[in-house]
Amino acid sequence: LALGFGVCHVQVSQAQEVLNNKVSVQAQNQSLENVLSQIEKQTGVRFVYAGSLISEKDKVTFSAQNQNLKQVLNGIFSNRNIDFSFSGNNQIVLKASPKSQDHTSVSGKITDAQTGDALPGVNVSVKGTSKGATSDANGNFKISISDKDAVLLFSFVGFSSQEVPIKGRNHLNVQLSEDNKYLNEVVVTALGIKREEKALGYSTQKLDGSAVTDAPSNNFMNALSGKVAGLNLTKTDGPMGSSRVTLRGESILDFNSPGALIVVDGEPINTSFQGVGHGAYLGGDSPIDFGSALTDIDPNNIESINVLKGPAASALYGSRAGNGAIIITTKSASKDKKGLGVSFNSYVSVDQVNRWPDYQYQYGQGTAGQNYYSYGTTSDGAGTQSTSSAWGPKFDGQLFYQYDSPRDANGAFTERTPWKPYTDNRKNFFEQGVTLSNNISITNVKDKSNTRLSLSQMKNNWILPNTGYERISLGFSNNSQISAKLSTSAKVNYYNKFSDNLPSTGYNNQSIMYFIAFQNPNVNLDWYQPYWLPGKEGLEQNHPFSSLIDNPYLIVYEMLNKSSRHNVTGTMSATYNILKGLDLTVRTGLDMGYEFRSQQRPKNTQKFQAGMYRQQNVFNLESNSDFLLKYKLPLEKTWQVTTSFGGNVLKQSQKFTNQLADRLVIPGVYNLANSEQLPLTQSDRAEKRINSLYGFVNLGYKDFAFLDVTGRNDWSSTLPKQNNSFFYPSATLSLVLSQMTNMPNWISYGKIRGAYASVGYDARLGTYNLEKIYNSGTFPGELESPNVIANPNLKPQRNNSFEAGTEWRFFKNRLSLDATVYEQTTIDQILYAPVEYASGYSSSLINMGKVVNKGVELTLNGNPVKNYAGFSWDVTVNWSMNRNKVLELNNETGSVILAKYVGSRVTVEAREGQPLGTIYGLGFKRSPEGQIVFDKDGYPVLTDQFVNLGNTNPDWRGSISNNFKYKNWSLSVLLDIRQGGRIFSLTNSILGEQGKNTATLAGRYDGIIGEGVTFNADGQYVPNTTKATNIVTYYNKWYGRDNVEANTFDASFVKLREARLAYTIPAKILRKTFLRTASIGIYGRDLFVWSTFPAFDPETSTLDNATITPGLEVGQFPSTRTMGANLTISF
Amino acid sequence: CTEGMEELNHDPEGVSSATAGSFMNTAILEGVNTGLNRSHRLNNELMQVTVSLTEGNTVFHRYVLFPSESDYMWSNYYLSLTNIEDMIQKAKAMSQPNYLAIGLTLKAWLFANLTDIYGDIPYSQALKGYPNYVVNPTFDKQEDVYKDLIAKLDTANTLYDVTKTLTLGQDALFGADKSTVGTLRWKKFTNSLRLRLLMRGEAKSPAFQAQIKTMLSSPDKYPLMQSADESAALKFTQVTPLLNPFTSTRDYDFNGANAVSEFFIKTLSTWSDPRLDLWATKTSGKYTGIPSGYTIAEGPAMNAISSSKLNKNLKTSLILGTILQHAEVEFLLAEAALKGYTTDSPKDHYEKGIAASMKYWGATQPTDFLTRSGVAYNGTLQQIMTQKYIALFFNDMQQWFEYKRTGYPVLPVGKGVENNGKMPMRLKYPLSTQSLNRANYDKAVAQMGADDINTKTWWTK
Repeated sequence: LALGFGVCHVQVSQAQEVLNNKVSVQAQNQSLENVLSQIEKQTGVRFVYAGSLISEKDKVTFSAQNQNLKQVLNGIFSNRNIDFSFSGNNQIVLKASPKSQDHTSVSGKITDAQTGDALPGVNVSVKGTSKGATSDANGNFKISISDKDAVLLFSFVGFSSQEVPIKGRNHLNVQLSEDNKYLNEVVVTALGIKREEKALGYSTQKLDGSAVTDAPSNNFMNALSGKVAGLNLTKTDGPMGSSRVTLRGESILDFNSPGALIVVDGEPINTSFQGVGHGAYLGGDSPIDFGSALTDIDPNNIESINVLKGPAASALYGSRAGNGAIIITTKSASKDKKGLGVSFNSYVSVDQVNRWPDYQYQYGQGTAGQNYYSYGTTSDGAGTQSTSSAWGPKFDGQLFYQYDSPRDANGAFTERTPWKPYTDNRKNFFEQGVTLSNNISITNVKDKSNTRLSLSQMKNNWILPNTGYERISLGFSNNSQISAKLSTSAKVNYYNKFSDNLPSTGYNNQSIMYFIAFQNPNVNLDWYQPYWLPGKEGLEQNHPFSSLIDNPYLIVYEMLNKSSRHNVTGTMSATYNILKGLDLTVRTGLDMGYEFRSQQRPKNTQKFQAGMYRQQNVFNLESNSDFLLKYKLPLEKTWQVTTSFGGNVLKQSQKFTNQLADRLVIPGVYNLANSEQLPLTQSDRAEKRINSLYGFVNLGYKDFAFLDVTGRNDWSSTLPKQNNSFFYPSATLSLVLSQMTNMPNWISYGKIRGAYASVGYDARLGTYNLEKIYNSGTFPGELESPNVIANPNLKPQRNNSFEAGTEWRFFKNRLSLDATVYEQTTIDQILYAPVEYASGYSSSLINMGKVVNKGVELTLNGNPVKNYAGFSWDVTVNWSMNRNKVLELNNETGSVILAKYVGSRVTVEAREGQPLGTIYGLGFKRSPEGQIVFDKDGYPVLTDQFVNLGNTNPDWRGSISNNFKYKNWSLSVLLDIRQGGRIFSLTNSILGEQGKNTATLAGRYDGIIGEGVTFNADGQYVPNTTKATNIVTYYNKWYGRDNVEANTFDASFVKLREARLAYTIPAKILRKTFLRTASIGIYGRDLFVWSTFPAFDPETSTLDNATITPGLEVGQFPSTRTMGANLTISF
Repeated sequence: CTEGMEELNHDPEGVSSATAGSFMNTAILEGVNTGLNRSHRLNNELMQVTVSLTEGNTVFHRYVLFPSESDYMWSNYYLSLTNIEDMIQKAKAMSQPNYLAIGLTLKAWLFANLTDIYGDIPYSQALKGYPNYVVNPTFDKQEDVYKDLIAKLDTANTLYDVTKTLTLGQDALFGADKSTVGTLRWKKFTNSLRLRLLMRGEAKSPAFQAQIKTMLSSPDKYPLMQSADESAALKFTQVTPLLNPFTSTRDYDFNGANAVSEFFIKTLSTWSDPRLDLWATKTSGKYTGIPSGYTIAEGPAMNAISSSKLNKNLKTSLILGTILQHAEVEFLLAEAALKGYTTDSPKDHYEKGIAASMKYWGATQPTDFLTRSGVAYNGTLQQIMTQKYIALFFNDMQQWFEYKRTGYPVLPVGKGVENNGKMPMRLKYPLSTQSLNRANYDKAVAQMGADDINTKTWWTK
C-alpha cells in the first residue's frame, strides 16, 4: 500500500499547460479520491465533480512516472466512464461519459513483434474519437470504449501504426513491428511527385538534410562526396569550391555541359556561371570561381536530397535530365509539431592546409651550379636575384650580398649576410580560414496551414588573406489547405552572396599560386612588405626579385575580384481535387539570379601596367510553368492505376555585359569613369523556350508489381523548325519479391527492378545555328565572320539507357543491399566539331558521337549492433564503377579535344575506342622493352607524337561510413576512396623545372646517369651510362612542361572525408529549460589525405572561364582540412 | 506548340546583314597582329634578331620547330581571310569597285604569306565552309597560288577609282574614307605588293619576269609607293582597338626570355646604325648580343651574360604595324635594277631604301651614313638584301621569306644548331590539318615531296 508522488514544477495558467504538467503516480489499490487529491497536491489543480460520480470503493491501480497530466488522467479515467475537461481557474471538471451505460473497457499488452519485449508509452486511441490511453511500463494498456465494433489505433514512434478492430473482445494483445521504412518510405521523384520507394523501377538514393549539415561544407554539394554511389564531383579549389556533378560517368563530349540536373523544390536551377577569365595557364586573364546558384544554396535549409541516378528516373524533366537529377527539397514546417517552433543552428569551422608539395630548402636561387649569389651586381658578380629557379648555391652558412644585407647611405652593400633558407616562406602566406554560420528558423503549424521562415548568415574568411565571402539566405515556405478540395504550397528562397575578393586561379601573374611557384628558398616572405615602394604608393610595387612576379600582398590586397549576387528560387503550386481521385496541380517556379562583378588591378602590375577595372552584369532567368492532371482509377484493391497528363513551358534567358577599362588614369580609383579610353563593352544575350506535353501511367498490382510508363514530347526553340519536336519514352518495372512469395524468415525484403529510357536533348541556351550571323568586329561599327559553320539541319541528341537493380534486406533489416547495373548510350551529340581552318572556319555545329557508359552501383548497409545497452553501430558502404568508351565520333580526326592546356602541351580528349577524358601529351621515348631512351649526352628523349597517358576517370569510387551511437553520444566517420584516374600536374612540372622540390636534389652538381637505354654507334639499344652534366637541362627534360608523361600521376586517394562526434542533450535535462531539443557536435572534413600525388590534392580540376576541366591541375590552391563545431537547438 | 520559336532561334546580339565596308579594319588589324606575333616568336629567332634564353620549345634559334608551331599562322590567317572573302563578295554584290580592289589586295597579302610559310596550300577551294560546306579543301600548288594572286592584284589595280573616297566606314590604314589621297595609296599598296610577289617568283618564272618589266616600265599604270608616308603600315593610336598587340604582353615574354642576337648587334654596330638605339637596349653602356645557336651546355653561361634586350618601347610603339613599307619597294627596285629589269641605278634605290627605313623609324640618318664601311653601295645583292633585312625588322616573317629566296643576309651557324645547320624552308602543315583534312593533306605531301621543314617550295632558292 504505497503511494508515492514525485515532485514537479507546476505553473498553471492555460489548459494546455496544465494538462501537460508532469505527474508521477504510483497507486496500488488506492481509492480514486485519494489518488485525485494527491494529483491536486502535485499540480495545484482542483477536481470538480458530482459526489455520485466517484464511489469510495473505486480502487485504482496505476503507475506513471513523470507523465503528463492528460495521459495520467486518460489512464485513470479511461475505463471508468468519466470524462474530464479543463474549465479555467485550475479546475478540472469531471463528468460521467455519455452512453456510459454501454461502456466496456478493453485491455491488453503491447509487445515488439521482433523481440517480444513490452512496449511502454504506446499511444492507444479509439479511431474516430478523441479517446486515448498510453501503455504502461509493462506494455499494458486499458481503454474504455463505447462501441464494441470500434477500431483501436496503436501508434508508437519508430514502429508501424496498427489498426485493430475490437470485434467484441475485451482483451487483446498487440504486436507492433518496427517501421518497415523500405516498404512505405516515400521519395520525391521527378516533377516533385511523391512515390513509394517500393514502386520505383529505377535507382534512387535518398539523403537527409543532416548529410549536408552534420559536417557542413560551405558548398553543400561537396558534402555529398562519398554518400551516393555513382555520384562524381569534379571539384575546383578556392573559397567557393564549385564542382561539376556527374552521375554515372561523363557522357557528353563537352566539359562545359551541365552534368546532372539540379532541382530545388521542383525548379531546375542554373548550375553554370558566366566566366570572365580564359586560360588558367598564362592566358589573358585568370579564371575566377564566382560560384553559381548551386553554391548559393543554404545547407541549413535542405530537408532532403534525392538522387535520381539515371535517365529513367529523370525522364520526366525533359531535355536536361539525361544525366540524372538531384532533387533537393527545402524545409517546410513539420506537421508533427503543432504550434510555434523555433530552431537555431550554428557552426564555426576553421580551414587549414592539409598537404604540401615536397619543397626543397637545401639549395637557393640561381642557375645551374652557380656558386655565388648576389643581390644586384656587386663585387661578387652580376646580379642573380631575378633568377626564377633554385639551382643555385647550397645553404652552407656562407656569406653573400642579399636583400637584407646592411647597406651604406648610398645603398651600397657594406656587409654580406649568411646564406640560409626560409622554410616557412610559402606556408606563412596562408592563414587559417574561418567560417561562421548561423541559422534561425521559425515554424508555425496550424491545422490547415503551416509556415516556415528561415534566415541564415554565413561568413567565410578563406585561407588566403583578404579572400572569402558572405552569404545571407532567406527561406519561406507555406502549405495551406484552403478548402477540402484545394491546397496550396509556396516556397521561396532568396540568397545574397557577396565577396570583396575572390582569388584568381591558375598559373598566371594575377594568381597567388604563380607567386608560390616562383618563391625561392632563400627569400624571406617578409621582404615583400610593404607591397608599395615607399613614396610610390599606388604607382610602383615592391617586387624586389623579379619584375615577372607580382607582390603577393599586392595580389591579395589590391588586385581584387568582387562579386555580389542575388538569387531567388521559388515555386508556387496549387492542387485542386476535382472529383474523387482526380487532382489538378498547377505550378510555376523560377530561378533568377543577378550578379554584379568587378575586377580591379592597380598600376604597375605585370599584366596591367596602367591599372585595370572591369565590371560585369550577369542575369540569368529560368521559369517553368506546369500543369498536371492526375487520375487515380477507382478500382478494387488488387489493381492500382494512376494516369497523369501534364504540360510545361520552360523559358530561359541570359544577359551578360562586360565593360572593360584596361588602362586607368588616376591610381587607386576603380570605376569606368577613370578609364583612359572609352571603356569597351561586350554584350551577350540569349533566350530559349521549350514547350512540353507529357503523360504517364503508374500501374500497381497487389502491392508487389509496379509498372510505370512515361512519354514526353518537347518542342525546343534551339533546333531548326523541321527537327524541333521530339518524343521520348521510358518504362520501369518493380517487383517486390518478398511480397509475392513466402521468403525465409531471415529475408525481410526483396525487390528487383528494371528500367529503360530514351531521352532527347535539344541544343543549349545560346546555341544559335541556323544561319551565318556576324559578330561585332574589333572596330566600332564593324563585323566579323563567325568561326562556326551554321547548321540549319541540327537534330536533337539522344540518350538511351537500360538499368536493372535489386534491393534486399536481411535479418530484420540488419543488413541491406542495393545493387544496380546500367548501360547508357549517348548519340547524335550536338557539338562544335573542329574543321580544317582553310575552310575559313574553326568548327562546325553538328550532331556526332556515340559514347557508352556502363557501370555498377552498390550500397550495402549493416547494423551489427542495435541498441545493445544503448549502443548502436551502423555501417554503410557505397561503391561504384563506371567504364566509358567513345564508340564513334564520325569526324575526320577520330578525336574531340575536350580541353587543351599549358600551351596545348596537354590535351584531354575523347578518341574513338578510348574512354572519354583521356590525357594526351608528349612522353618519354621508350625502347621496345619500355625503357626510357637517353640521348648521346645523357638527357631523356621525348616522343615526337602525343601519346596516351591514361584517362581521367576513376576506376572505381567507394566509401565506408561508420556511425556509432551510445545513448546520447554519436560518432560518425566517413572514408572516401577513389581508385585510379590520371591527372596532369603543372605544379609538379614547375617545381621540377625550377629545382624547387626534393625530387630534383639528386645529381647536384656532379651530374646524373639516367636509368634507361641509349643508342650505340650501330643504332642498337644499350644501357645508358652517359652522365648528364647539366642538371638543369636534365630536370627540364624530365619535369619540363613538354614532358607530360612525367607530370601525370595517379589520382587515387583515400580521404578521411568526415568525422563527427555529437552529443544530444537528454530530454530529462531539457525538460527543466525552455528548450525542446539541443545537440552539439564537433566535426572535421578532409582531415587526412593518403595519396601519392605530388602537389596538394589529386581531387582537383582546372577552371577555364567557367568550365571545370578534370584531369588537369594548373596551379591549384592548397587543399584544406576543415574542423568545426556545430550546435542545434530548438524550442 | 512552336509559336514564336523560330524568332527565338536568332541571336539577339548578331547581325545577319553586312556591307563591303563591314570587315576592312578588323581584317587588317588581325592580319597585322598575327604577323607581329610570329615575327616576334619565330622570325626574329630564325633570322637572328633575337635569341631565346630559355630551353624548352622556344629554341627556334637552333632550327628546332615543334609541330605545334604550325597552327598559329594557318588558323589566324584563314579565319581573317573569311572576313576578307565576305568583303569581296559584298563588294561584288554592291558594285563597289574600290572595296573589291582592297579586298583582293588584302586577300593577296595574307594568302601570299600563307603559301610563303607552308608552300602548297588550300586556295581555290578554301574559305568555302559556309554555305557550301567545303570543309576538306584541296591544296593548290604554290606556283598556281602565286599566279592567281598576281592576276588578282592586276585586276585590283584596274578597279580602283582614285577620284572616289571610301564611303562605307572608316579606313584605318590609309584614311581613304576622308581623302582620295588614301584611295591612291591603296592603289600603290596593291602594286607594291604585286611587285613583292613578282620578285619572289622572278627566278622561277619567265612570265613573272615579263610582268616585272611591264610593270616597272609603266609607272603611271602601276604606281608604286614613293615615300615613307605611303607605306602600308597600320598606325597604332594606342586607343582601343588600335593597340600595339604587345601592349599588354608581359615584359618578360617580350624581352625578358630572349636577348638581341650577336649577329644583329654586330651587323648594325659595324656602321653605328642609329636604328639600333631604337630597337635594342644597352647594358653597361654597350650593346651585348648573345650568339644564336648556342649549345644546351652553354645555356647557363648565356643566361649569366648581361645582354642587350629588345627595347621595351617597341611594346607600345605606334609604328610597329608594318605590312609593306616604302623602303621594301625601294629595295625591290634596287634588286630589279641590279638584275636588269630596269635601267634605274641600283645604288639610287638602295640608298632611297635605307633613307625610307630611317625615316619610317624616325631615326636621323647620319650625313656620312651612306659612305660608311659596309653601307657604301658595293653593287652586290648581298648588300641590298642585308639592308633590306634591317628594314624588314618586325615585318611579319618577311625577313625569313627573303632569306629563303636569296640566302641573305649570311647568317652565322652556332654550334648548337640542329637540322644539319640548315635554315628551315617552311613550316610543316598544322596538326589540325593533318587530322582534319587528311586525304588532301596526303595528296599535297605527295605533290611536294614531303611534309618537312626542309622541303623546298616553288620559289625558294
